Amino acid sequence: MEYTHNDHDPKKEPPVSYAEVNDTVLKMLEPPGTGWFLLLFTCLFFLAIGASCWFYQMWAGFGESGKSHPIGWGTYITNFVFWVGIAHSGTLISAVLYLFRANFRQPIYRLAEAMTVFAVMTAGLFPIIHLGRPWYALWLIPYPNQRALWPNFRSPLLWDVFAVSTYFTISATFFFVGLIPDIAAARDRATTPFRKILYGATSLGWRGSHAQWKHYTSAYLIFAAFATPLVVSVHSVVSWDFAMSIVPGWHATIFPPYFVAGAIFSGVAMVITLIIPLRKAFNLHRLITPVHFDAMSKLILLTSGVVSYSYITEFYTAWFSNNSFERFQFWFRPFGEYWTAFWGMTFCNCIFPQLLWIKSLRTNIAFLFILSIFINIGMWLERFNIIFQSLTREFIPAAWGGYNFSWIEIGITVGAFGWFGMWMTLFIKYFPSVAITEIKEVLPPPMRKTNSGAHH
Amino acid sequence: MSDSSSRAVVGIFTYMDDALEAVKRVKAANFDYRMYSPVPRHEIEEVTYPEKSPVRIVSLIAAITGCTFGFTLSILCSLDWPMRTSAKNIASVPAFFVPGYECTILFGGVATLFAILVFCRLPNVLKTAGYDPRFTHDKFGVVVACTGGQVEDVKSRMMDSGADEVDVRDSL
Amino acid sequence: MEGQIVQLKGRKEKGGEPESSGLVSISRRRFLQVLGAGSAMGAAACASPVKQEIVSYVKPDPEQIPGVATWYSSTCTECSANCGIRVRTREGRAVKVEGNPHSPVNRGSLCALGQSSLQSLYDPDRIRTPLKRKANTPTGPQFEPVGWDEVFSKLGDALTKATNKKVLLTGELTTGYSDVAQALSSQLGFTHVVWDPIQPVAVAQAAKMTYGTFGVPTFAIDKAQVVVNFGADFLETWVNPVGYARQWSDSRRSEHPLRFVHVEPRLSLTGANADLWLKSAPGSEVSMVLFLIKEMLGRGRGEGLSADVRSKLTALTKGVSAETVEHETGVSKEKILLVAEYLASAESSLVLAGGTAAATADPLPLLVGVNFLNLILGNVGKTVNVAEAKKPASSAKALSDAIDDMQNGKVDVLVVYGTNPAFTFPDSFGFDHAVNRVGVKGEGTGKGAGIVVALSSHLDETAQLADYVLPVHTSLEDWGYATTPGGAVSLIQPSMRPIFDTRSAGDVLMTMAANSGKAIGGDGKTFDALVKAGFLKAAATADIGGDLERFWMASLERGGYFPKGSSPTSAAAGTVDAAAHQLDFKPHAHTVHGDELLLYPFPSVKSFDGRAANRPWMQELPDPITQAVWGAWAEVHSKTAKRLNLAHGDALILRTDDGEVQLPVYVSDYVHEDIVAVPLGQGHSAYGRYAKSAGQGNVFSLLPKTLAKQTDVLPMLSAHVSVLRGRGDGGLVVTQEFSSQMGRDLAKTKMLTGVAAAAAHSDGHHGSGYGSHGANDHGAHAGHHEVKQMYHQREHPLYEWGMNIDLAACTGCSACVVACYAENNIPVVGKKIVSQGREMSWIRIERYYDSVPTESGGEELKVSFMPMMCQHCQNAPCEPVCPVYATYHNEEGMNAMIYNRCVGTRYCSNNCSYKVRRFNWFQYEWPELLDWQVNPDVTKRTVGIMEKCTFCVQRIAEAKDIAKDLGRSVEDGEVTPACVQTCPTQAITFGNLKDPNSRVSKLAKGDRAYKVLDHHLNTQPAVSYLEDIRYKA
Repeated sequence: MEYTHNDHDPKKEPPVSYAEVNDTVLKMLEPPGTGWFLLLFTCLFFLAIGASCWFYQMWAGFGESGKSHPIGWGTYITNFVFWVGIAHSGTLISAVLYLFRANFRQPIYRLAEAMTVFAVMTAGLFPIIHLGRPWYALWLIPYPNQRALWPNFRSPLLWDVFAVSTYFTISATFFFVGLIPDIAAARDRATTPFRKILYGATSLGWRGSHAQWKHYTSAYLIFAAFATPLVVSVHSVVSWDFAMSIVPGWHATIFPPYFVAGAIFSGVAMVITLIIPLRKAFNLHRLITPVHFDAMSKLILLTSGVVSYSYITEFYTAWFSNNSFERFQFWFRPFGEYWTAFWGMTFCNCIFPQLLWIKSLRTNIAFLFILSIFINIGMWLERFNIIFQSLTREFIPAAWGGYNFSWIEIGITVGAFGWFGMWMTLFIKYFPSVAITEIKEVLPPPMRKTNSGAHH
Repeated sequence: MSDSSSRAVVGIFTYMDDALEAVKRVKAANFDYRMYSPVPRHEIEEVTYPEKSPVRIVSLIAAITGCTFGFTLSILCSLDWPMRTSAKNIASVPAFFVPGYECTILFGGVATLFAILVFCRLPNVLKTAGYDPRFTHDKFGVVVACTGGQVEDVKSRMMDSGADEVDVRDSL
Repeated sequence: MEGQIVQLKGRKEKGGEPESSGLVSISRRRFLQVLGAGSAMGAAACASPVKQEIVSYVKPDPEQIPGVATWYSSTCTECSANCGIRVRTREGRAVKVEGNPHSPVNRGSLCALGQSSLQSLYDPDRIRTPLKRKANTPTGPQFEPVGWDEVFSKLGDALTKATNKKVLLTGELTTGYSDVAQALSSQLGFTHVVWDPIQPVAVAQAAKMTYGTFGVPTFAIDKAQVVVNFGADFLETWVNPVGYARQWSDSRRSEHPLRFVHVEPRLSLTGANADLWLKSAPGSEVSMVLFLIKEMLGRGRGEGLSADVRSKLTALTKGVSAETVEHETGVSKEKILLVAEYLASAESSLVLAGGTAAATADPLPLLVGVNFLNLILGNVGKTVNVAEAKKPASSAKALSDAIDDMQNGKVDVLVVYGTNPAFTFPDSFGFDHAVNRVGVKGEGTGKGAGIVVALSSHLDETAQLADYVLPVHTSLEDWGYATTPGGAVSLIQPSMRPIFDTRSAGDVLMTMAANSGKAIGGDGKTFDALVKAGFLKAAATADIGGDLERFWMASLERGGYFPKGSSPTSAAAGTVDAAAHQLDFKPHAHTVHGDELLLYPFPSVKSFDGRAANRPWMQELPDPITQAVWGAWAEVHSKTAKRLNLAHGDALILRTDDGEVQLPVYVSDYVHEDIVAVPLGQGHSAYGRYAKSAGQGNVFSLLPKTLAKQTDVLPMLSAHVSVLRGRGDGGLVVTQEFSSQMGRDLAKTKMLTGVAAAAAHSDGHHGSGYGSHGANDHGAHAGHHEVKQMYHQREHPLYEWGMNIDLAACTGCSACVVACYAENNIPVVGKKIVSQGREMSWIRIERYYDSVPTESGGEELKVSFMPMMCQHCQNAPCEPVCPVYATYHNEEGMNAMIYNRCVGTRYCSNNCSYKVRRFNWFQYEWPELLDWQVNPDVTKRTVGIMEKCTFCVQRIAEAKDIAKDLGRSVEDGEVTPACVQTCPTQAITFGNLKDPNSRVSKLAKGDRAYKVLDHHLNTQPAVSYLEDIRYKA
């Protein structure tokens, strides 16, 4: 796709120039206004709530959360899976679409990647928060210790440790490498000494010589190649936490693809949720255009389809297996005590997104924003249904039980959003949250002989 | 008279094709040059660095190492402390696929990062002679290292290929 | 000797305590106790209330090795069955109570109540010094500590000044104590009144009337082919629950199991174990008895009876027909005829009546009718043993007379011991007020010399009314002996040194007597000496051999004198008394109208009459039928609930003219529409923190001031309560909300056909007397189905521990649960946390309501009880998912749990298909004194980690140590986990599956054997179950 705006703009604007890209993007880094501080403090406030809730829970005992017998996992693991899911679109957009040369990715991928990194940082907290003895979390790491103990490599939870930590490391590296040239650009026009030092240090003295670019681009390609299988693997591994168990409603081979699709689904939704206000606040209309929203809408439509299909397959498998426990579980979800969660999920993830078949809605920013929020909720509910509903009705009826939400859990959930938001807020103000270089890459380079236009 | 002091001639171009033209010309005269650009472009690569980058080799080796490490770690840990869980084998290799797989990517990725740093000479704290902030903005630059005597020749080559400006600096 | 010195030192510190602790009789044993206890107290320097005394093991006694348990044999006095017990002490502290295998009463088993007696010993609310009433405040009476001497002097001159009656009010006493009581009444002129609300006095009187001897006969349940029972809860609280449960199960698991029909208005635990449970209108049972008499006579039975009696009975039962019975009882005609058929066709049978169902305003017709039915069926002398009768001394009449006397100022001295009438006797009789009038001569005059003394270890409702409360030993610190109908004489001896400044009630009474110059059993005689003398006298019936002292020591070790072959079931013929002729059998069916219901108070294994209410274990123990914990509830039939617009869990107010209580509603289909069933024993206003916190519900406060016709017993079925809906939630907490198996075949049942006789006649062609298999039979052999294994199974070098649970024998009595709490330091978490589903019990008695087919193609209720603990699966789902190996499979086939490795991911619990893992949601602490009971062999768990059944691994380790010393491997039966040890019906078997000849291996291969969920999940549990059995109705 050629990066011009004529396709949506009747009066032919001139194409965006290199200079304009730098100006618009780096403008975002100008000293923050009150609005930004307001946002930051809101996030910090939420974070404080979450942190105090967690400490209270550790002090008073894990029972302060709503878990119980037989529901050993609840809100925290739901949040874990939810945030890991969010984390996915980042790498998907940056890596997979990079390999596919889908050019609508350029303006949004940086934000998506930032989202990935911070979402993983958020997700990573929950397995620790949910431990009965969080202070021993490090026992899951295979390090030589005086107790001469090693972790159990057969446990899906240990796989999580590997998957999530790898995912974090790689996406963070990928993210940072992508940033280097842009930080260099910021450095070269930085005015305050603080920013001079900050960018000077973080750009590692990048110059953009032809040799640097050469290694850079080939390395970037390799990163993309590494990150792409991660997108698939991480959420597959997370899904194995459930699929490897024998709990009716968990023990299903469809989980890995199902979870990956769901992850992308929720991730893209979250990107939209974040990018719409950003675009408005920093007036990026010429960089992030309806074209991109249209593309993302299509991605949502696709993944929504996959997710819906997975839901149906789950029910079919349960029925076809003729396993009374599975059958009961899948009768219970839509018609049991907690039917609201199920139908809420179905509406948000399967029905509502279908409106995107209408082209005008695909580029209707307001609608997309609302939709994305609904999808986020829907995906949270999906994880909740899987984790919680399955656990309430297992094999032994005498051991069936319910769940009692506690304000501690709600507090910690809110805190997670605060933590995530805090990083996002800081990031957009201090680093280029739109990829300068990559946008430039798809712009036609300034040529004297215009006939030989830029091509890729 | 011939001046043998070392100089850096910096040509600043608005248009990429001009800059490339200048590169071709200084190359023709076997000058040691360096080209700066705000973005990587294959046109530039074709002229300046046609051969493949060695980064890939590093990544590959690291990835293979990682894979071996992942499996070895899980197998050795299990054997070192043989705990029977359920009826599963002590070293149940299928389960160890995940650590192996993740380590492959982890090692490969991290190694690639180091590769970049090494090959791109990063981090680089020294001032580079002939670098201009505009190069990260919208200008292309060609910097040629030459002796005082050759300055004029280089200058002319650049001007002819359409540089907006050419200035000469001490390359120290 | 050193022991003596220590002893005397301890004695001096006590300050002039009379020689009362048996130094004379057995100094060595006492020395050991002091030594042990002393060291324990040294160790427990933090336990503040204790007089501390450090005794070093300079010369360690071979019997007192630190870390090695010392056992003392004694007798359980929780109910009047007097089971033999063995108390396990560690470093001088009692930590576990178990049944004494020598005792013929319980044959080594013990019920939940007996298991919990430790928590009476270590009750944090125990009285620690003598108390004197200071003042009455709105919050209740205030007491201040006083010295023993003051009490005795006060008591002394009260006795000398006393011009009026002196009343000694006690509970049902063990023989040792009744000796003292007799002496008091004969020598000091005390009137001895006994009150124990759950003594089957009416049954004893009916026996007097029919057989001529007062007393509850002993029954040979295992000798009967058919048992028809009208409300006698012999598997729960009736007469000798442990003994009868064993008899019942012995027959049920035999080749020719008895057929059991139970008739009552509310499904009791006993009824839940019946083949055929019939819901009768309250008080209507007598009409069915009459019909059965008529039927049996009609079939030419009753040869043994004189023609005269037969004709009398025929005349009495003329008007009765299946139709009238159906009309009166609400039991369908077919069923009634079926019961008649069973009885008629059985070679031997047994008809029982008792419990609340029989506690009507006129109990005799039913009870005597049942006696006659037994006579007609020729059961007397076969399954009914009149000769060995238990003679309850409890009398409501005597108590109410005493109350009147007190009311009228005719009593100057009241001494209360071992009973709590202020709680267990209807308020309508006004015991509370009466007590305040002791010694009051006339209006206006003060109490004068009148005195009320309570000998009690708890400040219960009655003790609170006393002027002086004297802290006495609990039976684990006390002496005594008890004779049982079988001729066995069971000894009670202290298992540890008294914790507080308490004394033996016997010594207190004897000192009292001695002070007024009437020394009982000779001057300076102490209670333990009296006990010794009394015991030797009682035991002297058989030849003891020359050396009395040796016999005494031997008896102390065995726990008493248990003559060979003396089991409570040896038969002796009975005689019919012509007094039967005076009877008129009129059914006294109750009628209720409007929002009025008949109150149906019942004792349960959980609370009896309230004596165990301050024991956390018993409060947290789920009631086997309702699964309710902490406090009482009101069972109402679903129809009635609908009519009165009540929902499960609502608050419900029960009101009579005499009182009002608020209770949570428990909606059930297994109570009669006209009744509201409430367990006894809850709703304490005093007694202790746990009893009080458990909430309202003392039904005694609702009963009217009436005594039953002729028998003068307390009629439980006498209160018509008006039922109002209370405000909001009633605070009902149950541990099991779902009662259906969802057709998942968890607790399987094998259906037997044909009447018992037919089953009995089959000479075991098919190896057993079972008829055709029933509906649930498919998968009966799932226990040993072969599945292709993906992994080669683990080898177990020496042992592969396994368990077997016979559902046909399990009655659901929950003794195992309490035993497990005691053995494994399982924390009691309290009502709130249980309501969040976080109870910690390692064993869960699952209760399922199913229906089974009948011969006539109908359906009958089938209640299943299923003890569920860790199944120690070969392919345990919990193990591979733990990231830190906190749980793994050890080489003895056990699913090991390493607490300090656990980080608390709870993945194992999610993945446990049996849901038997419990997580420590909080840091649970033992209140001071209760922590004395903690078993030193078992780790206390900390917050944030998982725990579960370990097969009592500490006992396995102990057995292996012993075996190792003997240079051999552990043999079958040497390891008995706490649950196995205590099970009254021996339904649980534990052993080494590796050994093909061990009982557990054999059972696991039996044709009733199966493993839960195994054929679904291939978890290969080490715990196998044997299908329950049911006769097709």
